[in-house]
Amino acid sequence: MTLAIEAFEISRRVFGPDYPHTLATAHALAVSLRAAGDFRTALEQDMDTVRRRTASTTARPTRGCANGSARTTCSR
Amino acid sequence: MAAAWTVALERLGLENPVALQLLQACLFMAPEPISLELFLTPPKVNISPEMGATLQNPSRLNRALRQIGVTVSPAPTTASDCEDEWARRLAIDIIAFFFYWGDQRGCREYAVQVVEHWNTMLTPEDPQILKAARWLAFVERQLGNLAVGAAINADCLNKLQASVGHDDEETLDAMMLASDDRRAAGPPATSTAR
Repeated sequence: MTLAIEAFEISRRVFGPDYPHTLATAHALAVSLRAAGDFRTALEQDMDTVRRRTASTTARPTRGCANGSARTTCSR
Repeated sequence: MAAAWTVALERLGLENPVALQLLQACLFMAPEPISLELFLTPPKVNISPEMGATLQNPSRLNRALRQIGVTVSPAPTTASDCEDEWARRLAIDIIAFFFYWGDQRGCREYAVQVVEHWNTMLTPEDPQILKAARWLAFVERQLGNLAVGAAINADCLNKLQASVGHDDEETLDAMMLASDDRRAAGPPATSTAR
């Protein structure tokens, strides 16, 4: 958990809260929070990430699948 | 690199033309996962009568799939051998491709080969070695080898912190992977000393 928090805080400070890498670290932190049983904070963290991702993807076109569906990938 | 692929594909075409057609059909749809049902259930994709006959025959289909794997897999080795940075990026993409294709063991095998070879020709802190190594760690974890993956990630994190600093994106990526490792390992054992 400590490493996840540290990665998120560094990324937010260095790259800003809406930067894709920051959002990836935010999601990773939420996963850690959920695994640790802190479901409410995890949900809040994920909702914030969804809001930021939605705002960024509606602001500009993004690469997607040919059939328009969302691509599901691992954290890599 | 392109020449190596061409030779491999030409050989496949000579040895089993249907296997080459099948590979071409799959490459057209890649990197999306391709269900075998697409070829086997109506309405079938009808590429050629020869392929239709192969798809109807499980034995011939399995032989074609095996031949694709055996013939084409040596081609990526030339990417890992190349001293050009762009070709090394391609090698990392091939590692990722194996993973997303669903061939986790192939992914690990190729990643091991890449990391071992690059360690003989690049410095240990080279960002491309450390990227390939993190892919190796990731796939090791996916295969259940948690301790192996964690050790590789910890090594990558140390090297990145020392070489590019704590604020670099690569370092942060390694930090997230190390965090995943710790989560996967579970809580530290508590002392049971009496």
